[in-house]
Order: sequence, then structure tokens, then C-alpha cells
Amino acid sequence: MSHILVVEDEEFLVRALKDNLISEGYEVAVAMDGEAVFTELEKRKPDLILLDLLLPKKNGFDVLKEIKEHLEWKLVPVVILSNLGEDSEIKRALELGANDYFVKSQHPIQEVIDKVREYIQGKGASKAQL
Amino acid sequence: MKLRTKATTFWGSFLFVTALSIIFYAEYVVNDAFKKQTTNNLRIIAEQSESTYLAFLGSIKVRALDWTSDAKIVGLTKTILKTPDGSPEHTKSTKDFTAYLTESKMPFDKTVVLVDLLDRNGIVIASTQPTRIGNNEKAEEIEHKKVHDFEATINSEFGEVFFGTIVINGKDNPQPLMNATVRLFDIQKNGERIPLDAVLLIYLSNTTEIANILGSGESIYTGTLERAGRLTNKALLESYRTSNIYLVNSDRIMVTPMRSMKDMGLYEKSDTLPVRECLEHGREISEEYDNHKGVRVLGASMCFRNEGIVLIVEIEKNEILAPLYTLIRSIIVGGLIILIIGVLIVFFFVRRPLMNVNNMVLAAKKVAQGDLSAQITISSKDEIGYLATVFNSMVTSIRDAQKKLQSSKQEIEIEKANLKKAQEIAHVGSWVLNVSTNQLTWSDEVYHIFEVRRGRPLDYDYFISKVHPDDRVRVNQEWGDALHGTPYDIEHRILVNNSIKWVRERADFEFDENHKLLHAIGTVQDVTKRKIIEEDLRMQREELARMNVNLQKETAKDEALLASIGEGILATNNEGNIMVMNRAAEQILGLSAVEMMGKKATEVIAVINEHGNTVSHEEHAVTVALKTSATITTSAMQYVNKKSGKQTPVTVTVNPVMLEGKLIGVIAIFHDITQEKELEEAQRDLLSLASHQLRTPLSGTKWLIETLMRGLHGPLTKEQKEYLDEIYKINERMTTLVQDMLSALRIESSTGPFEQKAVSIRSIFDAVETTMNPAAKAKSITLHVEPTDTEIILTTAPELLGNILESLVSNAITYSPSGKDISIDLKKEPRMITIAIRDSGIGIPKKEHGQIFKRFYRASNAKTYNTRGTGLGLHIASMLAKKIGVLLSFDSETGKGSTFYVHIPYPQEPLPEGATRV
Repeated sequence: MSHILVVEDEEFLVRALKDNLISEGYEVAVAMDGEAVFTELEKRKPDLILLDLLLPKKNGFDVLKEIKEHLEWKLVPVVILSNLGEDSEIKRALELGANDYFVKSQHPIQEVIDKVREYIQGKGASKAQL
Repeated sequence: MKLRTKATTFWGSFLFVTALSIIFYAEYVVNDAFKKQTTNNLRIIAEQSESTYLAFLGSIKVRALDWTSDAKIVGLTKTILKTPDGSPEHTKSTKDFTAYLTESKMPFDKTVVLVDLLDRNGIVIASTQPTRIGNNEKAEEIEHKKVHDFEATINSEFGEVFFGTIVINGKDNPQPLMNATVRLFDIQKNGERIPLDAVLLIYLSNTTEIANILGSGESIYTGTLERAGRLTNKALLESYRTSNIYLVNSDRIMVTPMRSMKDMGLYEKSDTLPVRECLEHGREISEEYDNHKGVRVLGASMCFRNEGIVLIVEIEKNEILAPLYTLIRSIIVGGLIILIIGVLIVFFFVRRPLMNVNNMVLAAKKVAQGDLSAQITISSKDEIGYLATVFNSMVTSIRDAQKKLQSSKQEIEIEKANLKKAQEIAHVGSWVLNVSTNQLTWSDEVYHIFEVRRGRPLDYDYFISKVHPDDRVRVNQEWGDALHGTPYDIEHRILVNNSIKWVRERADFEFDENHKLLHAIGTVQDVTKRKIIEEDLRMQREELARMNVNLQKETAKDEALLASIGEGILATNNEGNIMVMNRAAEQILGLSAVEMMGKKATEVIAVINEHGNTVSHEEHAVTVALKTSATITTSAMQYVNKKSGKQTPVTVTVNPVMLEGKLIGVIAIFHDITQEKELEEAQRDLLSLASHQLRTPLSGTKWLIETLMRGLHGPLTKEQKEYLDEIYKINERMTTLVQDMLSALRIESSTGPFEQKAVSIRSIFDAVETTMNPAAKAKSITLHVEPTDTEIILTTAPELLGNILESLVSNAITYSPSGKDISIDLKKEPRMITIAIRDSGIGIPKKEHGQIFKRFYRASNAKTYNTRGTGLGLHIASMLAKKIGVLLSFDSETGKGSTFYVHIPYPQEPLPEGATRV
């Protein structure tokens, strides 16, 4: 069973994502801040990370950077789910190694679920979804 | 005339003239001498014969005198005279007279054939032929002149005997008779001679004898004389075949026989020149004439006029001149033979050399006609052969020489043409002045400069007449000085067709060994253009000086201005070396203007780009501007203060400075934008945060509703579903509003330029079509995108242009009824391309046309047609258009539709690589 790590500090968003992913049959772990991410990663290496950028304790860019610099974790696909929509922000995330970028308010949750499926099935190849 | 002809003619003429000369000599000189000699001889013979004849007559005279002194004859005569005629005594005496003479006297002289005794009246009173008594001889004498001379005789003195001419007597046997008359005298005892009136007339037939003594008859001395070796007349005459000596009487009849017919009396008439001369004029001749037979003879005559006898000695001229004629004939024949031999010699012996000479002549003619390939093939070893060899080598030499000459001539021609061309190009002509003849010679270019017809006679005075009147004195003075050794190099004006030209004249002089000036050689250069330029230059210099003063004033002002400007200003030359730097620049860069002067700007200004990396020399805005001559503007750089190390964010504009199309440097103006940057950053952070904070609840609501609607938490009722739908739409509208507001804010607050790149219109159209098609299809609207002529490359911000187009197409779809198609056209205009988005929608009310680009403004009919618009779409589009430098306009009519235009400047100036456009 595929394991997905959801990094999100907003309770209602975590809930919406978790409900939908579980219903799709994924195992879901949740980190509510930038440091918890690594605790979860230590516990179990996920098949995919859904990462928010504005996080308590450690912001998403630093988290992303750390993951992509880690020998083991850097191979895990990271899809950014953020409401930061500036071009510079998107560019910066992709440069740091993010595999995809969703501005949450502009995409139905179904699109996120579909994207997750693509990655899990090894087809995830598209870039940012603005 | 050919040489052979000449030789032949010469030889022929020479021989002919020689022969003629000999003939002439023979004919006139020898002939004359011959004639003279012969006539002299004949005259001598005639003289001698005259003597002989006179001697002969003397003998007759003696005999006659002898008879007159015969006493018997005198006695008988006296008796006859005394006695009357018919008396017995008279008759007897007469008979006695006849008898005495015929018996006693005549037998002693056979030549005496008749003797008459005539009385005083000339009547025959006694005769040896008695029948003749009574004949009147006096009458006869009167009748026949010179028959005898009775008249003289009857009155003559003693001792005188008169001879008559020789007359031909006798009819059957005519024979010539001579007579002599003598008067009878009675001689007394005392010796006194008493003349009697009686004359004795004696007839003599003695012509044969006369002939003999003259030499034409029988020679009575033949033998003895010849033997004695004496040359006689006869012998002399006989040495000529045609010689004759004879007598002619007063009747002009030849009375002695011819030498050729000795025994025959011819008694022919002979009225020839000597006869006439003698009988008519008493002259004797010795010359050439025609004889009685008409034959040309040389002769001499003796005249016995009283006796009426002419003695003639003559020889046919032909015989005399026979040797001469033989000589002439020989000469003619010999001459002809020599002539023929000469011609043959010329023909046979001279022919070959002549042919050789002919060949040479032919070759020489060819050479003369210019055919220098002519050669003579003569192998003879004589002078002609040698001459031929010499000729051949001479022709070869000439040919070589001519070739050389030809090539030299060609070279000279080329040189001449080059010189002429060079003179034309340089506007330099040349001239030569022969000082002694005052003859001036110009090259073509001089004629051209002076604009004088070629070939006009020239001299120094003519030249002076062409010099500008104000310059004449000076030119004359300089020329005079030059003749005394001062170098001649002068610039003066000339008058040419009422316009003035400037020329520069230079000259050199040539002298003979006595330092006498021979001629002057010089050049003329048209320096009019240079003079004009010099004049311009002078005026420009003055202008420049004026300008310089102004400039210094301006500079002082500028320097004050520069110092007071708050922005950093730095100028470089075209090599990027710093020329000017103001106070603000010094402060930002931490540099001293004085120290930096002339240093490379890129070396002393440290620049850090937006990523914190030092900008290399090549990427430096100054370098790029110098390289591309384009204005470079950037606000992404930070200048490092050399003193404090402080980094100052700046907007830099580097302007190339062009002078007459040439880049002479750049001016960089930079402005400290630290505050602006900070403000921008704060604004951006705020916006980012605001958008995040606004979006987060919206996205939460959105996703939760979606989750609910998927039925993950149990199925929903119809009403619940409807309610959730409404909430979802409200949430979406809110999301769009936030999105648009943030976009508008972002665009309004952004300061920096947008990144531009070259893209094809086609690719932008494709992107717009792809994006907008789903929405169009949803309303059964077809997008007709201009398919042609879209391969236009634009340098622009493609996303922003795409946003503008998408916004306009989105509006068109939104405000068009279902099924009404939309077209996107492209039109190329002189200075721009215009994209037109045409719909058949609701249109915009005319009175609201001025409002629709305003923020949050929505047309009255739009609000009712679609309630979900934010009123920000066109506002954002117009702001984006302003950002990327395009214009928006529209046509619209309510109910008929709208057309929105996007005007993009085109063609654009190419943007240098690495540069961004303002």
C-alpha cells in the first residue's frame, strides 16, 4: 500500500486531503509543521510528499531544500500544495526540486488526487499546475 | 627602269652614239678633207692641163705665124687683093693659093683641114676648098658667136693669132674643128711690116690630139714616162675609174672624147656648173656638182673665155668617197655586231647577277612596304652574294630593332596614357616654355584646367592674360625672380569662363653649358577645391573658437548641474574609460572622480546581480551598451561601495552617445533604489501573505465541499447537494475576485521591467486557442484564429501578451450568446501589427465606452447578462498592455457585438542579446 506524507498546518485542509486520499486507498501520514516532517520521514519513507509552503517552525522552502539534499529522501516526489501563487515563489520551489506545484484555491481536490495517482503509478511527469 | 634594260640601253646608246660620231666624223670631216684634197688635185691637174693646152695653142700659133710670114702666101694674097675678082691673075692666084697650101703646106700638118683667105670684109677670097670662096665669114661670126674672131684679127698687130672655139662640123661625120685667125703682113726689106687687109683662117681637126695632150686620150708617151717613174696627169687620172678631162665649147657641147670612150666623139650637150660659170661669168671652179649625166662629181675647170672653151677635169664623187663609204658601212655593220654581242653579253652574263639584283630589289621593295620578313636567298660568293648576306642581316637587325621600337613605342604609349590619366586624376598638368622662341606647350590637363580649346597657339603672354588681374603683377614678379634662380612655386588665380580657379604652378629650368636659359618645365595643379576647403576650414576654425567659448560656459554650467544632480552620472569614452563622474556617483561607488578618471569603468565599478554573483566585464551594462550601441536599463543590479563594501541596489540606464553615427562613449545614470526595493519587497510580502491568507479559507471551503459532494461521508440529499453547489459557486466567485484583485495589485505595484523574449505570434495564438477552446466549446462557440501570415516574431513578454488576449477572448465568450462564433484576426500595418478579437455579443453601450477599462467597472448590460464578473478583467488587461507597451482599443455597438484591438509596435528594433527593453 502506497504511503503518502501530507505536510499541512491547516486542520480543515488536512482533513479534506486525508479523507480523499484514504478513500483512494493510500496510507496517509500528516505533519503539521516544518519539523514534524522529518520525524515522519524518519518513521517511514513515503512514496509521495504533499508539501505546503507556509508552515510553522520551518517554512516549506527549507523543508523542500532539506529533503532534496537528503541522500535517501531526495528521490521521493514532492508536490507543492500552497496558496502562495507568485511566479517567483513557484519558480523558487521548482528550482529547489519540487516535482509539481498546485495553487490550492484554483484546483479542485480531484485534480490533486489524480496527480497523486499519476505519481504513485509512476507516471508523474508534469510540472507545476498553476 | 630595270637594271637590265638600263644596261642594254646604255650599251646600245653608247655604241650607237660612238658609231654616229664615227659616221659624222667620216661624213663631215673626212668627207670634207677627201673632197678638198681631190678638188685641189683636180685643180692642179686642170691648171697643168691649161698650161699644156696653152702650149699646144702656142704651137699652132707658131705655125700660123710661120704661114703668114711665108712670102708666097703673102705674095699671092697681095695679088688676090690687088687684082679684081674674075681677072685671070686673080683667078690664077687663087688657084695657086689653093695649090700651094694643099700641096706645100698642109701635108706637113695633118691636123690642118682647111685654110681660107678672107678679105677685109670677111669674104672668103681664096680657100683650100675653092667652093667656099665667097662665103661671108664675118656674117658667120656674127651669127655664131666665138666661131672665130675675125673682127679682132683684121685689126691686129703682127704676131697676134686668134683662136676660135671648137665647132662641130659635118653632117654625116661630124667632127670638131678648131680655127685660128691671123692677119697677113707684107714684110719689107727694112723689116717694116705692112699690114694687109687679109686674114688667114685655119681650121684644125686636132681634138684627139688635144685629148691626148690633156691626158684623156691615147698616151703618146706611154711606156717611157711610166718607166721613168714620173707621175703624170694621165696616170693620176687613170688611177680613178671615173675620171675625165675634156673641153666644152661655147655651144656647151663636149668637143673632146671622154676618157672612157677614147675613140668616140660624143658631142653631148654639157650645160653643167663649170660650163655656165665660165661662159657666163668667166670663172673657174673646183668643187662638187652634177655632170652632164647627172652624176655627182668633184671637178675643176679652166676657162678660156675668149676662145669659148672650158676645160673640165672631174671624177665621180662616189669613187672619191668610196673608201669612206666602205668605212662607214664597216662601222655600221661592226657597230651592229658589237651591239648584238653587247646585248647578248648583258643577257647571258649579266642576267644572273641582274636577277640577283632583281631579287634584292624585290626584297628591298617588300622591306620598304613594311614586310620585314623578306629574305634573299643568294648563294653566290661574289659581291652580290655578300650584299645579300649583309641585306639579310640588316633586315633582321631592322626587324629586331623595329620590334624593340614597337614595344618601346607601346610602352611609351602606355606611359603616355598613364601620365595623361594620372594628370587627370591628380588635376596636375605639365608645360614646357621654350624661352628663346617664347613657345609654350601644354599637356592635355593644362588645357582642361584653363578650359582652352586644344591646339590654340600659346605663349607666355597668353598665359598671363589668363591670370587673374589682381595676381598678374605677383605672377610676373615671381616669374622674373625664378629666371634669376629663385624657386618657382606659386599659387594664384586664373580666370576661366568668368569663374575663378586656383592653381599651383611649379617650374624647373634648364640651362646650356654657358648658363643660358634653354627652357622651363613646370606643372599646373588645380587646387581650387583645396582652396575652398581651406577657406571653409578657416571659417570653421573661427566658428569652432566661438563654439569653444560657448562650450566652456556650457561646461561650467553642466559641471555645476552634474554636481547637483542626485543621481549618479558616469560617462566613458568608446573604450569604456571613465571621463566624467559626478558627486552622487562618487558617493554610491565610494570612489574619487579624480582618481578614477581614465580608468576602465567595468574594472572600478563592482556590480552584483540579483543572485548575488559578481557581474563579469562582458556582462557589465557599460560593456553591453558599448558593444550594441543600445540603451540598457536594468534595476536588478547592486553596486558595491569600494570604501564601505555596502551594496546599493540601483536602476541603471546606460545610454550610448553617438556623434555623427559613431559611438563615442556611454553615459550611465544610476539611481539608488534601496528604498524602492525595500518598499517593493514589503509590498510583495504583504501581497503574498494576503493572497495566501485569503486563499487558504477559500481553498479549504472548496475542497471540503468537493469532499462532501464526492459522498465520502455518506450520500447527500438533493437539497443538500443544491445548497452545496450554491456555496461552492459563491466560494469560486470569491476566489476569482481575490485572484483578480491580487493580480491587479501586483501589476500596479510592480516596478521592474518584464522579461522579454522573441516568440512567434503563432505560438501565442496557439496557447490562447488551447486555453480558451474548452470555455468556447462549452457555449458552442468556435474560435476562428487567423491562420495566415502569422510567422511574425515579436520580442515581448509572451505570458503577459497571452494574458491580455485570453482576457479579451474570455470576455468575448462570456458576453456572446451560445453558438455565436468569435474570430481572432491579425493585420499588418506600416508601423504595427493589430490583433482584432471580434464577437457578435451584447456589445457595450456607447455612453459607457469611456469607462470600461476602469477598475471594477462593469457595463450596465454586462451586469445583467452575467452576474459573476469582477469588473477587473479589462482593467488588468489594460494595465498589462501598458506594461508591455501595447495599446488596446475597441469598436462596439449594443446588440451587435464588440471588436477589441491589440496594437503591437512592429517592426521592432532588434534587441541586443542580454539586454532588456524598457
